[in-house]
Amino acid sequence: MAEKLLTVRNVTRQFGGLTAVNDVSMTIYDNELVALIGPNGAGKTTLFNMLSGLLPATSGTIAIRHDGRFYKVSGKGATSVAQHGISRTFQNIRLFGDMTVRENIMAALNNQFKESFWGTIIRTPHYYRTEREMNDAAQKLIDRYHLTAVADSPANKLPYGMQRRVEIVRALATKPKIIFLDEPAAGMNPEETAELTTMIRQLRDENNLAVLLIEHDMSLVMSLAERIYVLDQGEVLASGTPKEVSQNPAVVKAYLGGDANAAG
Amino acid sequence: MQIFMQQLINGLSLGSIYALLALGYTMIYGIIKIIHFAHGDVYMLGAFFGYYTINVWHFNFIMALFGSMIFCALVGMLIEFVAYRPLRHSSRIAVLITAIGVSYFLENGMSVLFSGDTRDFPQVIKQVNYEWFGIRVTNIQLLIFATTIILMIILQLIVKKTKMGRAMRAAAADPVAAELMGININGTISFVFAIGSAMAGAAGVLIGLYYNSIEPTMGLTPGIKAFVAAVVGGVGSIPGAAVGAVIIGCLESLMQAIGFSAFKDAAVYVVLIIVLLFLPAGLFGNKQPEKV
Amino acid sequence: MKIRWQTIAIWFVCMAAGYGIIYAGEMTGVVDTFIENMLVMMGINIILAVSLNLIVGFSGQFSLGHAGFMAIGAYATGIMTQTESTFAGLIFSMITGIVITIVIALIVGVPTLRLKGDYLAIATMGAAEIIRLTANNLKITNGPAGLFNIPQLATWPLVYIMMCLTIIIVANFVHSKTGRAIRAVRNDELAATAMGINATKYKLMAFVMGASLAAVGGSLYASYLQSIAPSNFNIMESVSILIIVVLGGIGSITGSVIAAVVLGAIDTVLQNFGSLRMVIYAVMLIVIMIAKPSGLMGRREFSIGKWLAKRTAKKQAAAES
Repeated sequence: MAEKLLTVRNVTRQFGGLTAVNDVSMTIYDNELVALIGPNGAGKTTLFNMLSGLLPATSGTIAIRHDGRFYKVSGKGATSVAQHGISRTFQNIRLFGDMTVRENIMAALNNQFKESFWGTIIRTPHYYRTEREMNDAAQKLIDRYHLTAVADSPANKLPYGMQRRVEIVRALATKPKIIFLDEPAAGMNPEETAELTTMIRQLRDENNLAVLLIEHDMSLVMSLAERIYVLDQGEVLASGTPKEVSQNPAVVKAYLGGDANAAG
Repeated sequence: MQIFMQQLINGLSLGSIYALLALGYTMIYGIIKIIHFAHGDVYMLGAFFGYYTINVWHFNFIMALFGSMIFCALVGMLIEFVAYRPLRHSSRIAVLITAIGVSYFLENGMSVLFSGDTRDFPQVIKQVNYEWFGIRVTNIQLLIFATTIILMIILQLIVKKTKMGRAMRAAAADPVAAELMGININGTISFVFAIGSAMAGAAGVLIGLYYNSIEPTMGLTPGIKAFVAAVVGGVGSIPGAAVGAVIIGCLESLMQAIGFSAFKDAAVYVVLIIVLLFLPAGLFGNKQPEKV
Repeated sequence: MKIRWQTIAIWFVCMAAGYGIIYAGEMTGVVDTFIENMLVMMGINIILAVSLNLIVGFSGQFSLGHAGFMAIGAYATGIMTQTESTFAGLIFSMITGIVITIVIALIVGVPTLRLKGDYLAIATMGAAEIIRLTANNLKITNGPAGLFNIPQLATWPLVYIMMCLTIIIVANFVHSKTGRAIRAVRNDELAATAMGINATKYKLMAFVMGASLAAVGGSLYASYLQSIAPSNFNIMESVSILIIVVLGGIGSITGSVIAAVVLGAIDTVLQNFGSLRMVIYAVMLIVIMIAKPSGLMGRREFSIGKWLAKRTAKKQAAAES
């Protein structure tokens, strides 16, 4: 049995009077591929933002295992959260637009390398070595995830599907133990979606990390996810294997709006 | 206490002038998100136009006031058309530099045409002093309060009750959506510049009467102070601009009253920074969080 | 490896050649006091503009308070070199100015850098005005009259060397790990933090470094012109530095250098127009901005290293085919 990696306990988030996420608990284990699904407005992105430290939770705790101990994510800033093995992509792609793909990836490698202030100013041999090592590390990712052709183009000049790939690779560059993908297949054609599926699986297998993704494309979710959490109106409606979830009457009702028997 | 009240009256007069200017800043920033750096110079033009109409055409106060307002409205629309409209889709910093260019142009153009000297503003209204409980109020101060209040009420009515006002608010909230809904964006922006500049023109005539002197560089400092007032009140908010302006005006007067006149400007900036730090959207503004 | 040394050598030759040309001009009398004055002001403006570009262009923080930091350097030199009027005294005053500026930039930056865009601009403008008004009211700064008879310890060679150093420092800084983090924060602060980049730290770093270099510019300004007053460091001075940055291209060091030289030359030519000078300047400003809103260079940069790399790649391709 794999070890627990991320634990979410009774997390709630309110915006004014509106409860976007209500008493959500979930556990993610090492190296798992988990999907978070639910209708629009179910609170998926809000939950993601709390998990990645961009938004504080109103109550409840989120913790990630780091160096054998559990580190509390809730209440910490995004920078610190990212430094403890959590990385993510965004629903509306947020690349460093006028930087090249290579620079985007190198920026994400930032915390893995050390460089002294005076060293960069007078360009010591150490500076050149660090630059070369960072470039090599980025190049490895570029080659592995088929970005070689676009490596030196500005990120905002790339086609949409490519930008999504770059964003995933950038998230990977921070060496996370878990990666959150917010609607990675949104706006992609079937061909691109198929490529993406392969990429996500490859990502997980080769880097020993867990993946949690929000996705509306059910065929992608069903083929990829090992476990699914269903969120509805801010609460966990159901969880389990794809098969269990797809046969859960409450889920079918929430998704199809009709009665469960008709869908079955 | 008497001195305090006296300075409060003086502060309110100054604050009213700032308020008229701040309204222009706040409306213009609200709709096209630019710091209209030349706004203080429009106010200067208003004062000079008033000076000429009174001296040459022998206008009375009301006529001079309206004359300056109309003149400045035209100037404001012209500035927007020539300098800002071509840059509608450029970076805001580029528009700011253009605005500074316009400000330099107006200031120095006026210096070349009419020399940089300070000149006396004609006293179309004879100053009368009233004393109540030892506090001196002049008829000009009362005139400033009255004009400011009337103009602000009219402005509020335009924004809240008319079709144009609705277009203004829609364009400020979301220009693209407003355009899709059939609102003439360029026309609305022109209208905002006209109204804002007319207010500045009125302020120019009033300050001429109040201080008796005008010069081509008179717009810079009040312009900056009024902008600070708009920020303190919350950019985009009309009552905010008025309250911010009164706070700044009174603060300056009070600093003077307690013998720190050398630090009155510094105090204004300290207040500005404190407000920005604790209420980033100003006293009356509402800030939307960034959507992820 | 070879390209690295070639790049350094070519840059060094260029900078030495620039020095040589001015030196020859001085010797032959082509560069008289008037032209020397123009060249020195260009050099100081390059220091100020490149350092502001680090803040505005690379780290994306709209600062309108550069003249305030310049004033700190200028007053440090103005006050200290009057009692210790040696070259060592000038250098010591410059370092003192930098240290004070770092402290004040931290005090200003820590709270205000949370603000965005125009709000940050207004806050930094306010901070600079507070610095100026302090100088206006202190005894040691001699109030509104300012300081005069400051010994002229800064000569054109010193200004030239400091200008070259500023360009090298900023260019090297920007093209490093830290520089990339700073640019990432400018592009998308939220995404950068989600990638583990400490946005506050990097923003503060760029701000403090830009401010300290402005203090150097201020020191040279005071020492070369020999008199300073608080009015030299008002909002309009901050604005005129910003104009150089925007005109050259926000985020282009090359652009800042070119714009500082071009504007300096234009300003000198316009001296002949008397009172019309500022009117013509204003019209040009408006016309240039409307014609080229992204500035002369945009974000492009003149880079010998890249040029050499491209040339070598081309040669290799030719040799292979």
